Amino acid sequence: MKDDTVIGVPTCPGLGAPARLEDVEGVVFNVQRFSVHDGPGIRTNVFFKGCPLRCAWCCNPESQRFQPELALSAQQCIRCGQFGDVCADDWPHAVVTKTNKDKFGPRSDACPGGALRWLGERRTAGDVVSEVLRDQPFYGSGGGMTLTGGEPTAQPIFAEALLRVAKRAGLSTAMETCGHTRWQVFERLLPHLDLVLFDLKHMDGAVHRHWTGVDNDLILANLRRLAGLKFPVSVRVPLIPGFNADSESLTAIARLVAELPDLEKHISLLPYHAFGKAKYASLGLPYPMDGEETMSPERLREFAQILETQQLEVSIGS
Amino acid sequence: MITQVSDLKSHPALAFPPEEWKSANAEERHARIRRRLVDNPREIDLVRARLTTESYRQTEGEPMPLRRARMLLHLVRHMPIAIHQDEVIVGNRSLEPRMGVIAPEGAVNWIDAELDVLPTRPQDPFNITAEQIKELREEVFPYWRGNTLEDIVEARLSDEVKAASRCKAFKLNQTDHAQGHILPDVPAWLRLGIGGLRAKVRAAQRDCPSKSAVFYESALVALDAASEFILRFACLADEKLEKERDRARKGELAGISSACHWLAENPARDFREALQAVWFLFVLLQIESNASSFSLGRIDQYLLPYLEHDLETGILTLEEAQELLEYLWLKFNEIVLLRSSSSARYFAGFPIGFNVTTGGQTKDGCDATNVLSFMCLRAQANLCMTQPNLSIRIHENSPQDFLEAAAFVISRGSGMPQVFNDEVIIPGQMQRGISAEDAVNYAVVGCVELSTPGKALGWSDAAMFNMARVLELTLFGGADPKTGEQVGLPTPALSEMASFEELQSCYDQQTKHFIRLMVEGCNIVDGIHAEVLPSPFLSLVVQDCVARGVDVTAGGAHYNFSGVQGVQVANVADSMAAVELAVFNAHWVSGKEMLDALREDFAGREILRQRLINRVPKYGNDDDRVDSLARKWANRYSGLVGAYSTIRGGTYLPGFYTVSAHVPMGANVGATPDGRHAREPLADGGLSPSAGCDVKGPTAVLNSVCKADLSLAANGTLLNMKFLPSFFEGERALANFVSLLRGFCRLHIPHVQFNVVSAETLREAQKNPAEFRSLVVRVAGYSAYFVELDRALQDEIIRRTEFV
Repeated sequence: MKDDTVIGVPTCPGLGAPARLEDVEGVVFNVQRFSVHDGPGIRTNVFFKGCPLRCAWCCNPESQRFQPELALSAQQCIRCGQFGDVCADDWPHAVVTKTNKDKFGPRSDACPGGALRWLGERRTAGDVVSEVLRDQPFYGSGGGMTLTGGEPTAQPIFAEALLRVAKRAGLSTAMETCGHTRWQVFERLLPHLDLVLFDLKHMDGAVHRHWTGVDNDLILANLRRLAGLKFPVSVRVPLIPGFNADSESLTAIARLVAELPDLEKHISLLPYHAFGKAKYASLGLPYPMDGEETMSPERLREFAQILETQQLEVSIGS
Repeated sequence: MITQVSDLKSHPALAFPPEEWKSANAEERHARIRRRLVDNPREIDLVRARLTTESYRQTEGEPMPLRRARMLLHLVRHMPIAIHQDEVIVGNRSLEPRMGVIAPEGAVNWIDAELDVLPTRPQDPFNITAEQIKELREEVFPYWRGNTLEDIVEARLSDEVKAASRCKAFKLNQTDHAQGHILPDVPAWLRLGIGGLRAKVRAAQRDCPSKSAVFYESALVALDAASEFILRFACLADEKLEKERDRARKGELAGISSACHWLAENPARDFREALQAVWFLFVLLQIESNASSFSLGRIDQYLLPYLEHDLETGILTLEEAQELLEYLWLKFNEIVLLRSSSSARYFAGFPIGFNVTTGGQTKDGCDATNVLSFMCLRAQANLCMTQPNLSIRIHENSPQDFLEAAAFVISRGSGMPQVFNDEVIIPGQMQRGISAEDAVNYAVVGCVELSTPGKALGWSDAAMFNMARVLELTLFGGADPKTGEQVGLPTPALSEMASFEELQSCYDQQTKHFIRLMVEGCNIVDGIHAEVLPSPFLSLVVQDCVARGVDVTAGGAHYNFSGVQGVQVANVADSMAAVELAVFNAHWVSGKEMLDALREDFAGREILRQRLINRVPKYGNDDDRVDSLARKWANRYSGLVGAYSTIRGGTYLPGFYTVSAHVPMGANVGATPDGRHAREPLADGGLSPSAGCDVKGPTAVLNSVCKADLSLAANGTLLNMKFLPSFFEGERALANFVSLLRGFCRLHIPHVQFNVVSAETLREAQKNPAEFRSLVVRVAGYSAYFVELDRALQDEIIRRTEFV
């Protein structure tokens, strides 16, 4: 098969004739340039929309559902009065219903402040990569494109197309993943990746399920296999109060990373923050977390030390 | 730490190694001097006004160049001089640092008008006493009235030019003081010394035509003045030496004495004498001209032989050399320029433009970074003051360690060094007829202006052209929407236009019209400078003047240009894009409705204004729909300006920078279709996007900016970026920042500079100015003390987009 055709994992019967890689479509909610925290150098992050997990602390609630959705940012609403009622007053505090979509959807075009808008857009791989390539002068030897989300492996054909188009253009590639996918997907993507940023959340399956909605067995199995392949993997641990920000949980995670022979002995701790709170409101979703909003540097240091006792290097932030 | 010279040659970064970055701080004595400079209240010094008036009275009837030379001699003989506590490099223009000096030959009218409000005016206030005011009004001003530069310019400008200037389509600069803005030939000054220069003048004089006789006679008087000035410091040092009890200080005074005795006639022999000679040169230039932006050029290139010699022979250690360099650095903070209230708004916060250029390439295209380049960075990190205005030149092969050290200094927040890009500037200079050898040797003047050291009079701050105002006039058919007066060409108003193409064609006509008038005005001002303010001392250190026997103001320099700045590309592009979409494509409003909205500053039309702000593509986001308009009009402005010639036999050079003029120039423009309210500031910098409109991060901004052909803007461009200090946390931050700089280099953008400060800190400083007296921020091509800026400019800096 020629390189410019999709060999695609046939997730959907009747996909039709193979198309050009550039024409493969996926749903993306943001292409964020000048990202310096997700892989080496200056990078462009491609945020996939849709995730199999529902982590309680998720700071990107717009990344969870697979389809484009409507959001209203109340601060940007100038109460223009064009539609009779004021959108911000009427914006429901529960999940946006179809009726609401019918009501508010058409208003987004006329919204003067840009408060009402659709999040997520169906785009082609070619279109996304050409946007990523605009920053090629900044990537140097280290930087490049990072697929993140949402969950890139949840749109495997699109992910593969993006990576292959990017590779053809000489870009360095990375993917951030929750690891919750069939191993076959990794197998398809790894040849086109230079680095996997792997989120490891909890070692206890029941706790994991309670806080994220899924078990961790698939995730752990995938991490073990990746390590076995000696693939460059950077392990990242979201540090969440009440979930894993405790000695026992972190020690368990550290042990796994320490014992996997070919895994880099390094963990990035990503401390919980509540910056995503406003986004929940804009999507008409309740904020699932409560309690403390930030962690002090001293506490972060203590958590880092727990990992360091397992002979791991720790960085905080990314 | 003993560092071998050979090590420093192969590893210049040893002069400022990463392990010493974090501990960078001022030495105790330097800190004392710095504190005195920052705390010193600004007073008015009348000495120059008084002595200049005396001298002019004595020389009436003589040719002007000679009168100017005699004025210089009279000044240096009679002005008070001082060797202050802790000083090692000496030389002063006023008795106390940071005094406002009045040069009455430039202007007296505005000074007279502002005397009573000088201490209370919002920008750049100075204290003045009742006696001083009395002396000025009775002894000084009457002699000058009608004969100053300002008066003669006013008398000679045509009514048409005055009307265009009054309607604020452009602002003519250098109309009330000498214009400065030059890179003197410092290497020749160091190499020849006063004696050598005298011999050069005499040799040229021998076979000169009689019309140059006055030039040479004046040159010799100016050299005598320079020599006497330096000798006075030698004698003062001797006097002080006699009285001094402290042994260490005695040694220093003896050093000052011996250096000054020697330099009064001879070329510098070592690093310390070279630094001293450099400072004397710039003090003398300031005494003669009292002007902005005498800049130093490539100090790391021409001082290197002196430094290497001293390190090799053991005269100095690296640490001692660093200390000496920093004494010079402090000196650059002693001179401020007293400007009119209006001028102080355009150039706010006392910029004086002692620009120092480092890095870049040698004439064979190799990297020129050396130990002194690192020492300059270290001096800035240690002292964090507003002068000198430190600039680095970078290119494809700039060493990583130099860029990382520069990134570190930038992260400390003084806005320096600013960064210039050889990859676009060198070809741009060559396109203007500058030789390859001179182009590769370019350096920076004042803020961001580009010039050839020792060879060019660039007149780089000739005028500013308000592109946004001209667009406003175009929309209203050449009429001022406020008064209804027809100030531009009569072209159809937006309400009569059938297409977006028609708008562009009308804008093109109005732009051509006003550029023609601006150039006419600049040429008149230029000619009057040659008549009224010939500069015999400056002419000694600008190549070809002595050989040709022609003063630098009259075209004696090897290269002659005039620079005029287009202000502001962002507002023009955003407004054009808004009209295209709102009026012609999406038909949100008719042309008439748009004009009504603008005339009434969007009163009752907030929905329209919000749509114009939020629903129209904006320059700064790498969006070709609007960036193409920025490119079109930047290139067009450059092309139109570049076609004109100066009266000194050169051409006009376009530039895109505003200093702080985007605030007052915005005050001259009503509401614009980009949603900007009437009188609000224009976009800052020169090529920066409008504040808050760039939402895709710094790389998108750079991608937008690079779309215009900026090699055309050979007078200089300016791009501001603001980063939060937190960006620089983390071990990879500096390397990432360097990747950004390298991308900037590849995109062929001539200049970028960075503020690294949070809005929070700035707001805190507004509340408690006393606690933030030493907080330095980047305004536009220069740094200033934040608390010395007026509120509108402070607010504008706070509003600039922050990158995290």
